[in-house]
Amino acid sequence: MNSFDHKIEHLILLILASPLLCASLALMLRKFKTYISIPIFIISFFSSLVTLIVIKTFFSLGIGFVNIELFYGVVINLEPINLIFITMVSFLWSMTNLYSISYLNMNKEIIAVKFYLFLSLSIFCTFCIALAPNLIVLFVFYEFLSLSTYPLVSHLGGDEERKSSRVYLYTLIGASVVFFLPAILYLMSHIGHTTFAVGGIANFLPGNVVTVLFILFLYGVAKSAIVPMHFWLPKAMVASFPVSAVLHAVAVVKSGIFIMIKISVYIFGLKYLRENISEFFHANIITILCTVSLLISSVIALYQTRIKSLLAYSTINQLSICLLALSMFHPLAVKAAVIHMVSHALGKITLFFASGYVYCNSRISDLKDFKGLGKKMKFIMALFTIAALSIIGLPIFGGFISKAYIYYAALYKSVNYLVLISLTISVLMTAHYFIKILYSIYDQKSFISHKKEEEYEHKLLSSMTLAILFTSCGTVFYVFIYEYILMLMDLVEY
Amino acid sequence: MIKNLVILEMLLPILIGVSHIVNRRAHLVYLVTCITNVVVCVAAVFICIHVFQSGDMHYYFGGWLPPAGIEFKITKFNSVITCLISVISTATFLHGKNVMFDEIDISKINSFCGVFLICLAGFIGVLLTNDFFNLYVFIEISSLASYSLISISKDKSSIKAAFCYLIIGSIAATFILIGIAYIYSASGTLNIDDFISKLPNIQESNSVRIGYCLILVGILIKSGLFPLHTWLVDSYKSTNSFIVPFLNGTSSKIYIFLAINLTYLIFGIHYSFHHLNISFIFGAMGAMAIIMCSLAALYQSNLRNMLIFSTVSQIGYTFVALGLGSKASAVAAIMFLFGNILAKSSLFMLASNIYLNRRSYDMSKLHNLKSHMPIVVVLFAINGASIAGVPLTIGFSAKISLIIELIKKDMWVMLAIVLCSSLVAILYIWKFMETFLYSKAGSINDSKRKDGFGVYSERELYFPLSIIAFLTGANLICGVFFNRFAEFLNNLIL
Repeated sequence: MNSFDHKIEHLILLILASPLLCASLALMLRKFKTYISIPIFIISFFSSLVTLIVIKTFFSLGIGFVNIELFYGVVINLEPINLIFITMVSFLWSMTNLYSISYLNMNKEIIAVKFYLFLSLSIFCTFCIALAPNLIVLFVFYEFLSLSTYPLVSHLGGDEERKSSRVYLYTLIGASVVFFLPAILYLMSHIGHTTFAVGGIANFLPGNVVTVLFILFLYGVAKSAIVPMHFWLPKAMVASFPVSAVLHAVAVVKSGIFIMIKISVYIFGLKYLRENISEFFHANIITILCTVSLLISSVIALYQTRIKSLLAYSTINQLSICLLALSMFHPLAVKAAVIHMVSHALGKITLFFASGYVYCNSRISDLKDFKGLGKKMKFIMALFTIAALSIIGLPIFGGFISKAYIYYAALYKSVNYLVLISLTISVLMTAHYFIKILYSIYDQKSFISHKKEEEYEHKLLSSMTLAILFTSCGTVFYVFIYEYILMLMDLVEY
Repeated sequence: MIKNLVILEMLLPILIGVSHIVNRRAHLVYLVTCITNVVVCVAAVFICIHVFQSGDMHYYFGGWLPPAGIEFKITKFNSVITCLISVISTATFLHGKNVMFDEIDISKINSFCGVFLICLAGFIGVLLTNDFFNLYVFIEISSLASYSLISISKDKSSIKAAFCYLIIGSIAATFILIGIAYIYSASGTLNIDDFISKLPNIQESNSVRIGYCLILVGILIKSGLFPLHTWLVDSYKSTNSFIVPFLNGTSSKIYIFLAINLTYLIFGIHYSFHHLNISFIFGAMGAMAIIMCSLAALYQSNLRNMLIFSTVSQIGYTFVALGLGSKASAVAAIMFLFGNILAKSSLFMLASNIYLNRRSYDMSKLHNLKSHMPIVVVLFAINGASIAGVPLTIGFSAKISLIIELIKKDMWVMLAIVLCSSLVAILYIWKFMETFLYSKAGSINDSKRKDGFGVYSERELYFPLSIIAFLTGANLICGVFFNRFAEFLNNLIL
């Protein structure tokens, strides 16, 4: 038992050190621009393998929740949910590093040192959010995550980038200061600490206070992009494709979802939330808020004409589904939310990678230019299709499994009609806007020639295709990942 | 031996200051003043260490025992503040050689340094004395010195500002003097310890009440709380950039120290907050300061004016914290005091360095500073973060201790004001950061232009910047070890 503890400590230190190592590598190797990418990819891939070993060690510990002191005074919290989160982020981060080897080669306007430095720092902040033992530490790294992604969003320094990144920073920091911080400090002043614990620590506050606090958290954690707080996400899409892929489809937004899950499980306690959240017309008020967010974002997504903003609104949409699943507040719902979080991350990062590939190839970012691409880039478009079908939720792909699990959770014991209906509507809308693109991609009649293609064609075989292939394999073989997630989630103590 | 250091600390600056009249060599004067500052600083640190080891120290002038004689009493609280003040004064001097020789006529430097030292001695006297009348004398010494320090500038409006300050400051000093007279008439003693022991018997007396209020009004005027802040804005705006960091770190902050001393230590929490209920006045004036001056700072396009208004709003925070009337809130107020002294003085110093390079404080001339003065921009970002309340700085520690106290007292309106204005603080700091980071829209060649703006480039300013970096480091250390810092401050005001 003790020796395992010891081992896990070292492994976690390795994981935490790897993004810092990457950041320092990026700084040290600034003179050899072309060679930074490969060592950074190797380090990140190594760290994602380490996360698997951590999970294995954690299994052999046989407990669901543990606080470990890393070194003097620094305590981390380990439980299945944050292990899943860390594994997901580190794998997709290494895939992004693989992807950006060729991407940076082809887009010389991106400064490689700055890109790798701040990307690694953001990933480090994400890991720290995941491992934080209490809300204060979590809040500190939450703010640092916003700050360290800012240079990536404003990387080109043009007028549009400057305005968008300003909105990005203001929304995230503003929401966290006005809603998130007071809620934390309320807990701090009434409980005296904010350390996560099994069964929750705030389960003696009156019901209406808990409702207000939960709503403050819901809107304060603006990284989860619930609708009135979602403006930053489409704005953040001025960033380059790898950044959008790993941060604005995975690390940043998923850390928002992760924080909400963590707060509901380990701060309030699921059972307490289920019984005490106020109701409105026989429906849980949090569910109503998430439903509103879900429907609005679906409708807005229908009218998008650029691929990146479409993907952004689709992300907002899917994040709302995660929150909707969570808002049922029972163990199955939390499982469903986690499963959906991972499946969506895999699908969405593939979509971003593929559209980045298209952008590199022929500088296309408008949806109407996607017509006939299916013939030109068969392989990549096939992978794009797989990912899109997964996001819609067609059988055998990742999205199907996770959405089916949400239905299962909603039907379990007592039927939650609101969740069922809104989820169905949103699936239909998602299907509508994605199938529209797929249709135009494989539309043979209107074929536009893409001239720039020849220039780049010979380079494209390399790392970008590999990265897209790996992540889309993740969506196709999601069943196996799902098994492991379920095994881990069974360890969670509620 | 160590007892004589106490009087040395105050007398040495006065003697050296007077001797500057006969010394006409400017560089020698500067050197001697620096050495004096360092000596005072070292003496203050020694006294501080001694007080922490062996308790309060008393120094009786001429061996006359109180209540008849004049007494200096050094407690943990005032010794720490003395250290801070002398460190700021030393830092200003070591840092400001370029600024001083740039802005002040070389024939006036000897008298300027002389007056500066007398001002410092006055402030140290205010901090250390344990006698009401002596307090008034030192207030007058320091104020008269600071009027003349303000009037020396290339900008002629500084004379008008200094004259206004002279009138308002004299009115404030008169208030304090009359207040002291009332207190003397009721208690028959001028020694503060003696007065504290007599206070329970004369609590109900009207003259004590009137005296208390008059002294308080005087202190509020001198500290520049919102409706009484005009002298501060005018004089800082027009005076030379050398003296602003010093005055910001000392003159108005000394009076905040006096306010804490008067309300919490001399008259006690019960008398101040339950008997007289001054918390409403502090709260209302502080809230107005926070709102109005944050907004005013937001609309400034001049770097120094922005910092000045931000200072006034920070004073507002301090008084809001003071007005809550509990020990924890006094700790929060002292944290604001520390944060304001360290961060804002560094910001003023940075501004003066920027002025050396660009010859302007105006926003339109400050574009793309990062390619000319990268270190300045980094330091500006850290200190600005402290003002805005970003985690891991003193500003954040102060703000969360204030917010926790506000939540404990259920003061929701004040909480909303504090949160919104800290958002505004982020905005006004960020506005300037953005100016520093980007080149002017449309002029791409700006970054290629050589250092042709001013006489000084960053290479020549490494030594001044290292001084600022030292202050910034102190700020960060106090912010990171938040718990220990709070404990330390808690010990100060036992």
